[in-house]
Formats: sequence, C-alpha cells, structure tokens
Amino acid sequence: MPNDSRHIAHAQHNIEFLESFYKSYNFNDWSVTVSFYIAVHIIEAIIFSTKRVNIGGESYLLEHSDQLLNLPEPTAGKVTNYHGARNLIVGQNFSAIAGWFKILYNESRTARYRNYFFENWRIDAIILFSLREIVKWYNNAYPIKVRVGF
Amino acid sequence: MLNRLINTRDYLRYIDTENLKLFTSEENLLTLLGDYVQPKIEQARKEGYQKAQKDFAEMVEKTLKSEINGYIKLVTGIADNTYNKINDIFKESLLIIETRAKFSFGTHRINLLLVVEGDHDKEIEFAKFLQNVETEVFDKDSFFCEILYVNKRGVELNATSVAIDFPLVRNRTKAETKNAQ
Repeated sequence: MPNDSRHIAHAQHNIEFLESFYKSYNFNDWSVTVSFYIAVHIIEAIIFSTKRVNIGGESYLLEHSDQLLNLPEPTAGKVTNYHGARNLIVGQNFSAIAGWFKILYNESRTARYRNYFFENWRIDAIILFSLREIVKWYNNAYPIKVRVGF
Repeated sequence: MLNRLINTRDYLRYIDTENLKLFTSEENLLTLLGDYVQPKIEQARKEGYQKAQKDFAEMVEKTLKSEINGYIKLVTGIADNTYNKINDIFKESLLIIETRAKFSFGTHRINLLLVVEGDHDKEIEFAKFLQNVETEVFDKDSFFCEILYVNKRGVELNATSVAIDFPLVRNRTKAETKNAQ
C-alpha cells in the first residue's frame, strides 16, 4: 500500500489532469469524479501520516482506511466497503473538512450514476469550494504540500 | 451374537440389578426388555427431534423478527427524523421530494437517498447537515449510515439507476398518518 508521499504524488498527478481539462467544461462529470479522487488521496495521505484514528471513542492504529474493515464489530459499525470506511474516518476525525468531503463523495456518485449533466457553475463550486478547502486545510497542517492552480 | 449381547447389555440401566439376579436367564430378560424399551426410545427420539426442531425454528423466527424489525425501525426512524429536521431548517428553500432506501439485512447498513428540489446555494449547508446526521447516528447507535442526496431542480435524473440503487420509497402519507395517531 502507498505511503503518504505516494498518495500526495498521486493527488498531484490528478490535480494536473483536472487542470488540463476542467475549464473547457466539456467533461464536467469527470471533473467531479477526478476532484473526489484528489481528495481521497489527500485523506489517505493524512491517515498514513497520523497512523491513528478515533472511531466511536476508541483509538486505532491504521495506515489505510480499508484496514478499518478488519476491526471487530460493532466498533467498525457494519462498514463493508472502502469508501464507507474512509467516510466514517473522515466524519469521526476530520470535522473541519467532513462536510466538504461529503459533497465531493455525494457529487461524484451523482455524476457517475444519477445525473450526467453538471452545469459549469456547479463544477466551479465543487472545485473552488469543496476541493480547494480540503487542499487548504491539508496544506496548513501537513509538511508535504499539494500545489493547485485554482 | 456379540452385537446382540452388547445391545442387550445396554438395557441393564433400565432394570435394578437386584431384580435381574432373581432370574437365571439374564440375557433372555434383557432381550425382552429391549423389545419393550427400544421402540419407546425411538419414539422419544423422534418426538424430541421434532420438538427440538420446532423450538429451534421458533427461536430463530423470534430472533430474526426482532432483528429485522429493529433494523427497519432504525432506518425509518432516521429517515423520518432527517425529513422532519430538514423541513424545520430549510423550509421551502429545499424540499424533500422522495426519501429512498436500500435495505441490507446482512450488514445492517443504513443507505438513504434524498431526492430534493431546491435552491442550489443551500446545498453546501445541506450536505454538512447530512454529514452531521451520519456522525450522530454512528455515535448514538454504532451504525454506519450513509445519506446521499440529489437535487433534481433543472436536471434530468437517471430514474432507472436511482430505482435500482434505492428501490424503496418511504410512503410519506402513511408515515404522517401513523405519526399523527
């Protein structure tokens, strides 16, 4: 499994990809999904870096969110997939950006399965608010920086 | 012969040794005893098996019923509480058109999809509100809860995909009638 610098390198790779096309507004659905996966790598980098998460008042040593799936019930709260595990960790540990991450997760699922047309202003809102807030929060707290042009 | 001997000796536990010693043909008495006792044992086994099966089935039914109803009650409770709070907080600016659910009896996951219609500028606040509900459910009930939403204002939803992912719709009229009673 990747370490924190590998996760950030992949987030950076995805940012460059996003910046290469999002302002054309021709692939708004993919802009949403790429934004979400940038945030996923940032979150995974933080988990690897801190190596400790709190779930339901208990503290656990983890390096990756999917390790939460190996914890005994009911502590893991019936989480059965990677996204669920990560969402739970974010909700329980990173309240400052939990709402922004929720938007990215929700919108990426909407873009893939429920509504394939996203208006331009919505893409701007997703990238300039949700994603940028997560990047800003991360850059303020962690040494390996993420560079964004938006 | 050996088998017969072993079988008949098995019936020794049904007769007092003192009584057995009163007769010379011990094996003959044990054979007669076996002919009398064995059908009764088999009948008892049969009845016991049927009763145990019935008891076990009833126990499983009772446990499953309690578990299933508890899970459904939890999901509908979260759906209704969320609906009521959203109505209080967002009022006409963001209306819930449908509360859809996917039940996972094996995992007891709580998966809801709120189809809403309302002001787009309320969505950030709305998403944060749902995030707080999810955290609250986990802290209170130790259940992982995922509440997604989609704003149908000005967009065309893939109704088939929505119906496949979240096949059940909360019957709002019946829910309100029940709550009013």
